[in-house]
Amino acid sequence: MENFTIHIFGYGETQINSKDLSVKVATDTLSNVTPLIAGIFAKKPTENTTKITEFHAINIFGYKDVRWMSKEGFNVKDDSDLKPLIDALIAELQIAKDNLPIDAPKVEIQ
Amino acid sequence: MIKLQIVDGSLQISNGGSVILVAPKNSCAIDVLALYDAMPFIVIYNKYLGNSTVIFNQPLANCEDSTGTPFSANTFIDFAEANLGFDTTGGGGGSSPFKYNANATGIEPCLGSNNASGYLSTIGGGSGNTSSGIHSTIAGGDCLTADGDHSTVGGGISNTASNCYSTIGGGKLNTTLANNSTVGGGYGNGAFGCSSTIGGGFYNRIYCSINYNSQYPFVADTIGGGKFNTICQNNYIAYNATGGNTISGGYGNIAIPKYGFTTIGGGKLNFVGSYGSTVSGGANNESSGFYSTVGGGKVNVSNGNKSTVGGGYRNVVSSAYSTIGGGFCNIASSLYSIVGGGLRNIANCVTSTVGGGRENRASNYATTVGGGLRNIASGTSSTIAGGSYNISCGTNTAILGGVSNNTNNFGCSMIVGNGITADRACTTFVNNLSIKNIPTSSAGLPSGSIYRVGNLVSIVI
Repeated sequence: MENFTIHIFGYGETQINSKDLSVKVATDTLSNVTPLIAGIFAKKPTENTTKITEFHAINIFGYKDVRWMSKEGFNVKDDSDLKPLIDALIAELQIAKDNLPIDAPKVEIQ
Repeated sequence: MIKLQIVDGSLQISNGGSVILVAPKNSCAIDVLALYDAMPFIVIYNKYLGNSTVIFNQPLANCEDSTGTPFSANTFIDFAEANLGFDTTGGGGGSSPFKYNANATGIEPCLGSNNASGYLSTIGGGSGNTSSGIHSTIAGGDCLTADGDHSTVGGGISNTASNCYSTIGGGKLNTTLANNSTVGGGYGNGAFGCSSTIGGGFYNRIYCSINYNSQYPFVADTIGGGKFNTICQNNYIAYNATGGNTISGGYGNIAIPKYGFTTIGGGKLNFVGSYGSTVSGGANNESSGFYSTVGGGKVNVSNGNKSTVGGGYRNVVSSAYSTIGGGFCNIASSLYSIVGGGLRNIANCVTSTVGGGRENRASNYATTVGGGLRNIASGTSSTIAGGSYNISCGTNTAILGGVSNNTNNFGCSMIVGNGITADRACTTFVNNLSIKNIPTSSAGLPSGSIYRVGNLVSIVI
């Protein structure tokens, strides 16, 4: 897949937008979000004091640009280490969408 | 050795101390071409009588100046320019600062080491220039090359116009490598795409694309100026999907035009990457959806088709037809979603809207948060006008304002108050109610209306 955007929202939802797959699901139903967040966080510049639980959103623009959106955000560019983690999440999001009933109730997270 | 020197206003030529010729210096002219023959000669003639009236003709190697220093071609020209009625002869006869190239069609100056070797090419002046393309022209300057047919270099230093009909106005180290390409001036610019134009600036690049007819783009690419701007190669072949890319100016802006017609107005380090996408200005902005737009600001992303970020900082629009007006760290990530502005707001479901405020979320279909702080509209078609920490979580629910209200999944419930949790559907909840102008009669009132008789409040059944 190319030209996709994934948002991992800090409040607990994960969303993907692309030509082939667009879905938003609760993050706690996805097992591959946590390892991806950890993988991205591991790329944080050493001088950055952001904590792993502190993010408004993590925006993933394809495989080349990841932006950790928080008070003290950071970017990860062109890091091939993240590709398998991103691919695993995309596969899980595809399954989540495939398993949604046609008129599934919307996720409502308060 | 033969000594040539100026004595009392005349050219005096002597050999071994014996004067062999004295002539008024202003009447003397030289044949410059003879200085550059395989066997160089100094040829002096009477300028008023034409170059057939040779009065002196000796090998250059046998001649010296007044100090006894042997002449070279250049030092003798300097001597002649300073002292004689200096003139030159051209290949066509008569006096002219120009001569024919060895190809007998190119025209080049007698002075300077220029080479108009192209058929009917022209070099107007300067030095070290080579005009080798057919009908190519170099007006002046140094170390210029016009090797494309019908190419032109106006001037400057070390510019190269290397393909048909290409033009460089001036500047330094500019290059045109494609048909009809143009660089107006500046430094280190390269126009490598057919019909591409770089007005000026510093190290701007337009790379050659594979175009629909393998030659010319549908509309040519243009960089107006600025520094380090780049329009990258386009490998996507389609008749009407190549070219038309424009970077007006700025610094370090990049257009990757898979389909063409991208625009960067200016700013710094901006990026456009899809058909018809635009970044007007600002810095580090990215517009990569079809017809997507970033107006300005910094570090904004608009990568949904026909999506827009007006400005602000670190805003992201990732779905089609969605919009963020401005603000900081806002996200609009679903079809037709809108965030007007504010701080860290999210609209991430179809037709959801957050007007402004801080850390508000409209996360279900057709939800709206007008503003306020940390409000969540998560029930389909629910609305929170403002306030703080409110949750509107049933279908078609609404909260006007206040703090910490919750519609509690009771559909069509409304809250106009503070700290209220709904416990019934289709109900409006308030803390207190103050009704002004209560009717004093039930006459004409529909069922459910309130009226009073004296101090007694009643409801129409």
